Amino acid sequence: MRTSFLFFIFLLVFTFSSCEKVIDVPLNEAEQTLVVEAVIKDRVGANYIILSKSGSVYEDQNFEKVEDATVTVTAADGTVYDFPHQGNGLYNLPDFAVVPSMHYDIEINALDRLITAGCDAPSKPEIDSLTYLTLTGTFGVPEGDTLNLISFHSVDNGAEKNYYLLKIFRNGRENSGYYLGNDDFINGIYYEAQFFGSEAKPRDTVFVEMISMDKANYDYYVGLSNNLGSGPFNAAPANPPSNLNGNALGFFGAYSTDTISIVLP
Amino acid sequence: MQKLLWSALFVLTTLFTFGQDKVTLSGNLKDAESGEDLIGARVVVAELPGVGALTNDYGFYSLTIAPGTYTITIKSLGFETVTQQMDLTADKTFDLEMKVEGKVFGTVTVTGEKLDENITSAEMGVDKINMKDIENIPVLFGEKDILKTLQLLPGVKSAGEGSAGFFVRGGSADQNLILLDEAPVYNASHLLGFFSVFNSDALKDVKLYKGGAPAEFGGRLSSVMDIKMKEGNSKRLSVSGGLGLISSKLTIEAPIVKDKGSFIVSGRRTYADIFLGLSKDERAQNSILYFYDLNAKANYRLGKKDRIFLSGYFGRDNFGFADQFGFDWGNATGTFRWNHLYGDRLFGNTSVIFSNYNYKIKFGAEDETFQIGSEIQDINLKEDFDFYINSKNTMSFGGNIIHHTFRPGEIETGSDIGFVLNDIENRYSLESAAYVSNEQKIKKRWKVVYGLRFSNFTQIGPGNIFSYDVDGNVTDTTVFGDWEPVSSYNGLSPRISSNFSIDEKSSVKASYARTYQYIHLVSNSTSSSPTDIWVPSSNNIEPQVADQVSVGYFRNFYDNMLEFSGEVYYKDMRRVIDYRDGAEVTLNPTVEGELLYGIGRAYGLELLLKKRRGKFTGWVSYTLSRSERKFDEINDGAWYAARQDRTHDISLVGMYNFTDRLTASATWVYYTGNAVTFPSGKYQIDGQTVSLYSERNGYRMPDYHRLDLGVTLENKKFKTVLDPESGEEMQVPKRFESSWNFSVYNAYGRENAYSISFQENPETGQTEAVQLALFKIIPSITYNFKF
Repeated sequence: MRTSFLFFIFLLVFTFSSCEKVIDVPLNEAEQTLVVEAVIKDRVGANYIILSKSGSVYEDQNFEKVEDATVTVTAADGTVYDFPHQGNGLYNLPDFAVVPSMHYDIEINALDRLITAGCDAPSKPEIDSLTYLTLTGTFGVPEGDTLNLISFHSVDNGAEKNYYLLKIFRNGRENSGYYLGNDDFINGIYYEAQFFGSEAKPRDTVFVEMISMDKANYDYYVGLSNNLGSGPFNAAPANPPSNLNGNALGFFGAYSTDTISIVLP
Repeated sequence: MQKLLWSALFVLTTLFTFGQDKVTLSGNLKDAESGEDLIGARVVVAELPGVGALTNDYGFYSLTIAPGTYTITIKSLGFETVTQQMDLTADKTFDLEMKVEGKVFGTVTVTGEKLDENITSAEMGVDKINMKDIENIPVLFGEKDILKTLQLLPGVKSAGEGSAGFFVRGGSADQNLILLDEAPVYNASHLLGFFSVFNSDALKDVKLYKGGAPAEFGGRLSSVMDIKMKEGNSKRLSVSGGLGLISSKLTIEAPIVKDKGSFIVSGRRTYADIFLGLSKDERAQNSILYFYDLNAKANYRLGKKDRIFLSGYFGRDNFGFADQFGFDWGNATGTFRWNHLYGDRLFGNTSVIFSNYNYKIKFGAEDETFQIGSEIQDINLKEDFDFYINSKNTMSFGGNIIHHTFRPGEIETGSDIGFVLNDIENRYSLESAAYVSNEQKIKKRWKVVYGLRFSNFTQIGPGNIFSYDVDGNVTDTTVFGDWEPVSSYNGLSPRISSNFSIDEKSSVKASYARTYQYIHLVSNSTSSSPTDIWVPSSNNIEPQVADQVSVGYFRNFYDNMLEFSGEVYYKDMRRVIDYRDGAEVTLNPTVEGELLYGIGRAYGLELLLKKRRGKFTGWVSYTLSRSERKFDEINDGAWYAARQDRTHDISLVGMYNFTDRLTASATWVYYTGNAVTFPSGKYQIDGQTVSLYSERNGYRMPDYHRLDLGVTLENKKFKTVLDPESGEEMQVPKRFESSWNFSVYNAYGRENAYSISFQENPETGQTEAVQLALFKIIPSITYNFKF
């Protein structure tokens, strides 16, 4: 082999450019339809049933509320609860609370249509504790800044299939993201989960709500998070799968919950 | 059934071997410069028009004719034609090393060879790419890519901007069988699809069957892409390499023993992360982002009748942030082959093939870690024979058995985490096939290739196997032991293709093929993602089946300088897969419950006009097509446009040789935008504004078009020296060759929509359609060398 002295000239012309712009996309108008958000929980004061109407894509945010509906919830033990209208599309019965492991049915008469749904409230979940890891200058936290990574500890109920929604509140305000999970990998065991993305500052009060729900509600929330995401690595967009019977969007959920709070030093 | 096939085969073999007074001419054809085997070279007998032989994948040919004296001509595209008188009274072996044409003092010789292979061959629906064209055609970031260049041919469509993913005749990306030296490559893309895993420096030959693939191939619905790696130079040590904007590569090839064995090692690595290190931003400095590929192959001739090959590929993408987060994925394949000549008319090859694809995601550092992984692994034993019965019949037969292991989700926690998580159970299956195929010259102008492939797929234990109701909920769990069959499917695939030559310049071809697909890629994202997983057919998932018919007209003009083809096809697909709305497909042990089954149809017209010789070469390709799906659960059971549906698809490719050192090239592509789902309303729920969808794929992305330009400048190929004998000046070729390649991607800066999302304007609260365009005028420069 004859060797040659190799001299490499390297030239960098790198104008990788992506650009975003608003374009005009004409869209078909879907018929205006009823939207049901019916949440009942095992804590007094945590329930809400909101009835509204859908709007067109390019319209502003003022969705019409439905204020002349009748809403009743029937427990498996035969008790019937009427949820009266409280104003602005909100229907509520202030001292109502779900009994864990009980089945509930809902019946809504609104916009000349009947909407029904049923849901099993799961057994009551239990939060063991909250812990925190103080981060200074690691995990992308800038030098001189201190944040606390909150860890959540619990034991899964091995006797049933569990689906969880975890909401985290900082100083009374709900964080924009939530955490969804099932027990595929933690069935019946003690586990710990970190709330990445919800780091708290010193002296914050952190409140965590653990919501246990049935599969239909969990699928709805997964569908909802897919619907909200956009871009090439998200699922093909679709309406979240509803558990409502009748012509309406939305869901009915009967949830069992546990809550805990922690004050950071 | 298998037994029946084998006995039929035996009867056929004996029929053809007895009582013939014939002689056989056989041998190997090689490139004189590198010693590489020549695939598809032709051996023609002047005295017997229409009689000839082609070399197989290993450069072997065999021709059986009546004894006599003949004029034998050997031709191969790009090589000097050799003609020789031969006295054939007994069986004869004739090996030849062919010289590359036109390597004479800087002049381009025009070959007199008839380039009418496209007219005379019975193959149709086949796209081939000349490896030389790949070097000249401009591509994104100057990274030569066979998958991207193939997308410029009719019937092959890009999966998106800058994507190495492709759709063939309206099929999805997972319906393409991509083979690298016989080993399936399960995820052929790097860096989220912008680059393919194939380093073109290590490749020798690429062929894409869009329909009517030979019976030898099976297991995917839409296409077979058969890629072969170089064997390595068996004459001398040769080094080549390239420096590009985002990656560099180096290839070393050399003889093990001259003319008996050789090896090749080729590597490529990107260095985007080196620039991240120069950044002032601390986060960017700590980021990791690169991929690499390593191809290696060795071959050795044990004797006149035996030869062994060992080849492998290993490639990986690495993405991470400091030591806190890591995400890496990649393929590994390995192939061991043994060629054996059982007499001069029966060529056999035995292969043992390994393939693995996996990904790993790791959080945390030291002992506080949490790692998720998924994997598919194959071990395949394959046996193939070519039997050169006589000058009118060439038979291929063989079989294989693959053991598949699917690891959908493996979870590991570090010792400080304090608890152990459950894995998703592995799945196992056996996929086997036997085939027989014969190429027969029925009349002088009529050639038929017909064959039959029988395949079986058996899901085996151990495992807890679930059953589901119509809504996808688990209804029952059954426990199976090791190797215990759970479910089994058989497939019988007839294949036939026929060529009728109208005259020397034109022919009509027709083909029919049935294909089965037993493993399915589960991906609910619109683009390909490293976390997409493969699932086997099972008690819940039936195999996908397709039937395809196609008819084509082929005509050459001006002494084969211009080549025209027109093909129409219709493909009927059954049990194709989609997902329930809101499906969770990653790390879901009951993913089978998230699937929906429907039917599909695809049909179209493909036109190609190619100029193959002269200073100006290139082609125009146009495809008019439809691809539709029908699922009971989607769009109220009506037919709708699949994502792969593209009404019009046009590619123009032109290359101009100004001198033997300077080549300019340009490509222009245009296609109808993909079918997409856009909202038709919105509503508020859970404190968020949500889109309301009324129809799947009811809208279109804007039309896509783009112009790319490139220039390749080679260094002087010859130097002047004084002839030591005569003292005269003479030109000799230089050992060191190098070239500069300059290219511009998207030269006129078209803002092609990569995605369109509907977002709320934070100031006005109004919803707006926001278009994201990725690449606007990307210049690049690459330096290549070889010595």
